[in-house]
Amino acid sequence: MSLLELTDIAVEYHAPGRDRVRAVDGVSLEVRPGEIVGLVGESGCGKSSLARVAAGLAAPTAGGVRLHGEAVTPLGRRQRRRAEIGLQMVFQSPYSSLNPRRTVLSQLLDGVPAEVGDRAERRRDALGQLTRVGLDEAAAGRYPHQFSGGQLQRIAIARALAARPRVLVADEPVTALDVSSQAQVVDVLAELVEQLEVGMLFISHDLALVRRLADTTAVMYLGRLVETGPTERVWRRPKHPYTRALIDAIPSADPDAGLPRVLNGEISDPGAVHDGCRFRGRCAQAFSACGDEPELAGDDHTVACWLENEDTERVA
Amino acid sequence: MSADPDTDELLAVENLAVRLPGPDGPVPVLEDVSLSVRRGEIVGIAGESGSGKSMTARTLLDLLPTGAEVSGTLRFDGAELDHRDRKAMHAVRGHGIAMVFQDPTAAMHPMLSVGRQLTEHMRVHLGLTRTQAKARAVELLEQVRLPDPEGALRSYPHQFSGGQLQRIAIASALAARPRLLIADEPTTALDVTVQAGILGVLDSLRSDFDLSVLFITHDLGVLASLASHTCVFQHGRVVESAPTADLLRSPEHPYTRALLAARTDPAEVP
Repeated sequence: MSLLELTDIAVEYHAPGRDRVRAVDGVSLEVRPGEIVGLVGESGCGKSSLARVAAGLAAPTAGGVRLHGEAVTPLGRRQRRRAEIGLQMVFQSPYSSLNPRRTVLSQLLDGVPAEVGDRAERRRDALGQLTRVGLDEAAAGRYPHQFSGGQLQRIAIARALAARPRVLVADEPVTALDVSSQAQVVDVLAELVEQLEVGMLFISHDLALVRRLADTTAVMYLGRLVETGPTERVWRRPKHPYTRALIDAIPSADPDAGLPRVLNGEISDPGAVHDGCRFRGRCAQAFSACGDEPELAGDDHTVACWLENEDTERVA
Repeated sequence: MSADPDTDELLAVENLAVRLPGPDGPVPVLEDVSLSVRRGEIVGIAGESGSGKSMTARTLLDLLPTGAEVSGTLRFDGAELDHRDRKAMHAVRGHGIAMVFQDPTAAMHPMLSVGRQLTEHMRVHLGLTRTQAKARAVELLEQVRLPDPEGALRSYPHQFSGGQLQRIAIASALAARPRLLIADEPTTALDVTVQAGILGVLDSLRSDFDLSVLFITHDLGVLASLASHTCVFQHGRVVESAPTADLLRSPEHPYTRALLAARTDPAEVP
């Protein structure tokens, strides 16, 4: 049974005097306990909009979010229901997601549920969260500016975990960090997901990072999923030309590999989506069938591309 | 002012040490840093935050905070760079050495059109007329492969994506035909797909215009096929300096090995 279920999510933005922008257009995803789902795509593809909906921070224009089968209502001017606290988020910048004027301990205590016990027990619990992410208990009395970016992000993770979440939504949690801190934070996340049996939706523009961490990979382009499947299969045998382009763009430390291959063009304006396959304009393999929009098809490893559709060969 | 004819060395940094004022006396941020860049060569500087890689770049352009103590030798284009000589430094900045920063949105003025920002300093520093400056701006935007350069000049920074803005920032840095471009983490804030494009642009500027680039990054992989030589920085020192291919194939310093192990490489598929 899936833990977090996103069904047919659509997110629209409407700025005055401008057309509606459909940032997310019919995305369905699910996260099971102990599973890490990696969502990859370029800036502007709608992945952060989807993350905010998944974490219950914003209301989708259409579609629904279910946590343990129960509908999640978006945050408003009310206290969250206990069950919904099971949904926690880790943001991209730890500098702005932690309060600079409060100690680490006091911010961790925000998340520790009242059931844990009296003051001393809750304090012990908060310290336990710190050691769990690999920080010293002495960190508790300090303020955010006394830490490096990687340490802060681990504190942000500890705070999210203090609330006993069942699902973590992490939106580009390591993008702002150095390669070596990235590795540490990613390893901490992977370990915790396994230990605590929580599910995680991990969002990144870096497919190499997603490969290191995620069990399942979902690739998003201009508001839609174009490929999903078990991470190693997606990585080794990418079916969608966009997924292949993302892999080719990653610089390799092999000096013989040559410069990373460039994908032509930039992600187009989500306010002016043309008919047919959305990747068509940048795709080297586009052909006549791409005038119609392909559906996500397949069993385990799904792809939305006419090249992978057996019927197309007859058409072409 | 003439360069040694036997060498095509453009920049040489020897035994550079920088100390910044701290609450308990000067704090050393760079110690015994030596590196050199030849004409038409891309040299990489790799290291983590706080390793001193950006400080090295700032020292070259004299962009250090006040009170900084600098010692060592800096030689650019055959002449010594003297920070006390403000007039000489002014001539080097922009004409000799230009810089591109990590965050292209912060490098551009949000309320001035791209055309105004690109042409203004060309008119002031190079004495070009309005028409000449505009033609040069279009040429520069073509060099960095920005689509529709004419239209771009009339647009404002918020109308571009991060990758496009970084291309514009590179074009702007190249306006006064510098010999050396310092690129301080120019692709860190960008998507991998966009990063690939910027790396391509820098490499073609090097081969087409003999531009030298000092490329600063925390990701060794970015340097693999771009830089011919790489210096690895740790705690304000150069811990390893070698031709990039050798450095990646057989890293000698444990810190270089750790940096390499930390990254997830697409080539490592068993």
